[in-house]
Amino acid sequence: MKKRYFLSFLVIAACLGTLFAQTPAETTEVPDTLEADDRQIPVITLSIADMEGDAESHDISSLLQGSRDIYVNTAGFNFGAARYRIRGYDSENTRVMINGIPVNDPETGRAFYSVWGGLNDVTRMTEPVHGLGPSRQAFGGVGGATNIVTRASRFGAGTRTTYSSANRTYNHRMMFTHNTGMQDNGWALTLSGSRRSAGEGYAPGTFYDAWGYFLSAERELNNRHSLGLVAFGAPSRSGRPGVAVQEAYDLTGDNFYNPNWGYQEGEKRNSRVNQYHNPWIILSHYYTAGGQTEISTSAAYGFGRGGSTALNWYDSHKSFDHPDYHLAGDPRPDYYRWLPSWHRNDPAMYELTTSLWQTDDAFRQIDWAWFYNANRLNLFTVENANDQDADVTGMRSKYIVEERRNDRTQLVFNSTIEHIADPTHVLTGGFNISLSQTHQFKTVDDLLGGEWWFDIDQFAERDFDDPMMAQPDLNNPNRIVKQGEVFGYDFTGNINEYSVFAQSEWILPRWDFHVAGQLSHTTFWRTGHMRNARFPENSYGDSEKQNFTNYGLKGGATFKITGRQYLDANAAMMTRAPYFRDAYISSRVRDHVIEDLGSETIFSGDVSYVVRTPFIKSRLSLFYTEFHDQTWSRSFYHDELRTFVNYIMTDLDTRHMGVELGIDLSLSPTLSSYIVAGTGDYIYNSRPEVTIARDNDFEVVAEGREVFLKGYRIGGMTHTAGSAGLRYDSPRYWFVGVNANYFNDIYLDINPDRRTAEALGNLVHTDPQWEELLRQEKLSDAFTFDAFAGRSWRIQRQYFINFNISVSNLMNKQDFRTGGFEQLRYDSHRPGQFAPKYFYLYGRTYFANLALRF
Amino acid sequence: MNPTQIRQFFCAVAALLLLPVLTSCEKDPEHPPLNEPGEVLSMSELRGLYDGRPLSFIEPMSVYATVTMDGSSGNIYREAYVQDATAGIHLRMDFAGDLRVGDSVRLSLKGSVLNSYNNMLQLDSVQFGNNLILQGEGIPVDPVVVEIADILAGGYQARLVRLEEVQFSSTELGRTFADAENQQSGNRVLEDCHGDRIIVRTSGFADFAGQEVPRGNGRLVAVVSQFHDNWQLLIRNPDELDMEDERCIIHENLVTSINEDFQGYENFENIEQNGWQTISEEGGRVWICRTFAGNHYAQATAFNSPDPNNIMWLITPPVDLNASSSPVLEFQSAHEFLTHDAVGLYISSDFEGDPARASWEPLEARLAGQQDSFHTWIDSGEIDLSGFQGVVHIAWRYEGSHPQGTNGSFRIDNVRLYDKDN
Repeated sequence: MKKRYFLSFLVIAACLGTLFAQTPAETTEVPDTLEADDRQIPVITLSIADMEGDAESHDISSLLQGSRDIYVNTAGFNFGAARYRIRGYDSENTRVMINGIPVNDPETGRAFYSVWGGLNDVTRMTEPVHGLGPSRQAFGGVGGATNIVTRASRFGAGTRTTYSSANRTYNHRMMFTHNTGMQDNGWALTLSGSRRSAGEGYAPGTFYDAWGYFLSAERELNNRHSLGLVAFGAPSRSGRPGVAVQEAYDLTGDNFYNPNWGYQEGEKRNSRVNQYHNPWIILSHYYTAGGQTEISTSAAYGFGRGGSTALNWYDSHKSFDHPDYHLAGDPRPDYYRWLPSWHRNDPAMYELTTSLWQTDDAFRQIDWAWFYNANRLNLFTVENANDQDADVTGMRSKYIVEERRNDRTQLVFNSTIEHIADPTHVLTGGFNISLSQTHQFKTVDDLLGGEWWFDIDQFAERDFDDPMMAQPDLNNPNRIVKQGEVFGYDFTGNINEYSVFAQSEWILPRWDFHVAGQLSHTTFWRTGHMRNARFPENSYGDSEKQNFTNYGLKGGATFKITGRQYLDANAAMMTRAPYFRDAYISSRVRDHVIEDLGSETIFSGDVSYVVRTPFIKSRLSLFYTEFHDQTWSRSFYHDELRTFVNYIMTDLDTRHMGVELGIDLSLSPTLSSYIVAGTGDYIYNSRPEVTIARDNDFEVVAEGREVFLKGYRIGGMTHTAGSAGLRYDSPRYWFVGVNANYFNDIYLDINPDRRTAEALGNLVHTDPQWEELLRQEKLSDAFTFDAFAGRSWRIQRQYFINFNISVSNLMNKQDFRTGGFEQLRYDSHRPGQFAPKYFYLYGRTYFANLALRF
Repeated sequence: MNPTQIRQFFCAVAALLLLPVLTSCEKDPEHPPLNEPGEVLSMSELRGLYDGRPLSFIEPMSVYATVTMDGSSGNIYREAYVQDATAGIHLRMDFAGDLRVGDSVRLSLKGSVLNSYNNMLQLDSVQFGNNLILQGEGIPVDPVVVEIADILAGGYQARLVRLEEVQFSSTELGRTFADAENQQSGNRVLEDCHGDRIIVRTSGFADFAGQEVPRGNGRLVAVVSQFHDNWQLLIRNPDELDMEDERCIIHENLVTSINEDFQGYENFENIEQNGWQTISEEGGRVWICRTFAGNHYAQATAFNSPDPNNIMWLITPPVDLNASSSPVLEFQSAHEFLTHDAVGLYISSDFEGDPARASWEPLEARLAGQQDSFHTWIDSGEIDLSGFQGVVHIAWRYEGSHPQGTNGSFRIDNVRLYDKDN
């Protein structure tokens, strides 16, 4: 019912908005002293796959940053923390480019903000396209496209230094940027650097240590030709926050409890550290002919490293210093057997674990000292070590920190042309060649006091009589590995994509039209660098190549009702090759692709009503999108099977439809207001099949299991959000504002396997498990409030000082669950045993910014 | 159209376009096909289905029950006991799942097998989570209070019981429940104060296998099992043994009344039938049966004994006086050549086989003596025992010496102990 009221509110608000539109326009533009982007502090929004699985967990790009559209801007900033996604799209549906070079990760399609993190000064200039509108740099995705312009000649001359203080993922930020602008000698140069750091971020045990560097040089050869060079990178190290079951939050009294860290000699040490550095070097040629034709051609080289550390262990017998208490198992503190709920029928243990959780940091956090002690006591002899005849005896590490690496190398060649055929007709087109390799392997990051790690598959060792079966690499059996050495798995994903696009736009007095088309070819294959003993014929060397040809078509029209009111409609249809990440059953160890691997098809359409007057800017949009035949994959570490278990769904359809409303009002020369609301119905719309496979066994756990998924909400995001704000801009160069946000329709991300007949077994609908397994939990709705203020000074007519501060979640609401997911592991007998894990919105946080510009 | 009309038009269009969104919101997602729950049986109906041959369930059928024993103490493995109000059953499962006492479950019989293993009825091939479906938890069943004799009589197989006033036999004291070191099961004898006995069987894998059995008397909770013709108790958790009271004396042949005319004895036979005892404290003589004119009676005498002194006891079976509201003792006595006060009548509540170690209280009675003529049966009169409680023994103690000439005979017959109110 709430949703119904909310929708009614949308419609009424839209009508009110248009009423305001009638009032005569007599206001003037208010100077914008709070630069939009300084509010756009990216909030880390790890996707659920990142949290549970082991994918890299950069911050996902805040889509379409710097958009002029109030809805897009508000959704990106105010709603981002609540995991709101515009139109319910994943980030792979938005093309993100830097100087025309697509920077979406070829393996997953996602755009990662961390690639240019901290370089706000030089990534502020964007050409965003929301939804299906025409983009002149690329065909774009259904979510749109953003091009970040980094040409040195486009930056005005000046210098800017900024210091920011915050209590979110980082505490301090320093930025310095100097632009020469285009100089008389034909050179333009931009330099920027940044530093972001936190000893401990908002979540306990997290830290942040990031730098950013940027260089853009442009040489105007003549009035037609320019050459540009852009090079940038953002090396970062950060400790990951965690996600836990409610029981752990309740026991620790902290909804931001982070199981990833523990004390080591009095210092907090995080076991899950992300370390990224993915620089890009882009060489561009710009050609302009008579103001009618522009051709931009770029060659780009991206490279670097991505890594995320995690604990690994062998033969763990973690126990606790207590009489009668010896339990073996997973050394991670939130392992379900360490929780009191596991001991619900044993009051003594229940009490003991409860009290340990409440008071003992060695219990509720990682106990690093235990690992060091266990490793130092574990004298072990490996026979025929490293495939030599000799035996090696030493302290074999039982516990290590490993780093799972994903190092990308990418070569991109790209050219776009924009030609104004006549004042009413613009033609654009281009091609893009992307050759990329993602090298995925793991290394020993820290032996934790031991001398070496013996590289065998623990589960295979137990499962097979033949000791060779446990070898990850038959070419180098019985390896003992030391710090920095590769072990476990090692392969490269090769992904080559070739695409062309063309677009035509007509701009007429009453109507605008555009049509665009794209054709692409994708080839990918796996190159294994290890011969896994369980898959000797399908792990080493080049796999078969997978080829996909895809197309996209889109078009739209805008009807100008009056000069201030528009009606806009767009439609698109496209196919998309499956992503490498989703294509293989267990890409770490073998090159088998899933059955019926194919492209997905996307249909999308939207209709908007737009009002633009000096004192109201409003847009109301309806959208409808279907994704067909998607491939969905997720991987999680199963503590009892001691391996990664991969879930892959094929033939997955989703349907996204909803409403977007944005109203920007100038109530008086000093007072402005906005109302933004969006709601969507994002559901699974087919009955896909799931394949479940383990990394260490050739038997697949399940194949072709039918998943009764149709009608479930897509979890992991907020479906409904609204925001209203008021802002006062004083003529004396200060401003203050508040806004209120509302979130609703937040559903848990579901585990598809629970929706199979196999999972339900003999259950009948009167059994409590029937409902427990099938019901999708809806989280509570919530209101939050934000406030912001700022002041600017001008000194000696050439120095500008800006100060602004924003406070998010003013009421310090710490019990708002912004999302969560059902664990992939489940017990159909007692579904509550593997309870869902939840994310909470950070409590009150601030961000203060002081900038000097001259 | 003027601008106002246009706006109204678009509002209407927007509202219309929103309708599908509104209607789609309320829909429930699809679900896998429903399973049929099938007929619901009671546990005793399930047990009644067994006709001597293994029975495999093909059709869906259900029994609702509560878990009374799980594998958490290690005493059973991949097994469980469940029961409803009518009966219990033993489950054998495919793996040791996370099942706890007090869980209420639905047994989905399809796919399981009803079978008997050495007279123990069991539901076999129970797939955890598939045949055994949790309905709720934390509602344990209260055990039914029974006596060992009730268990031995049958009818409590696979049920949770509580026994009171029981103890491990004195021969078991100092021993452990099982052999934890070699992981061998152990059988320990448990007895009640009536002397009924049953085995407590414990797996060598039980986490209390190495604990000594408790030494005292008290209460315990256990599940009833059977192996061939032997009844066994399975302890769930040693915490459920509360056995610290003083041990009770085992009174074999415990009776609530006595009516003994000694006609069942042969001439010269020691008086040792039906729990009667005769014990020599000094010398070689005991009370024996003698006959005269078809009447059999018990007699003590030192006549012609070579011993310097003879002391002999005649002791009744243990009598539970609590069974009577006004217990009364009556008997007849006679003598021959009695020249001294040879016999005393006593009562004891702590006699355990050795009269010298028991405390005896004298009872007033009319006994045959020197003033009475030989062979005349003298009524003792009603001896009121209502001042005594619990289990007692009544004894006649004869003392005499042939060398000293105190060697007359004393005879007892027609001993009756009964409830005068009955």
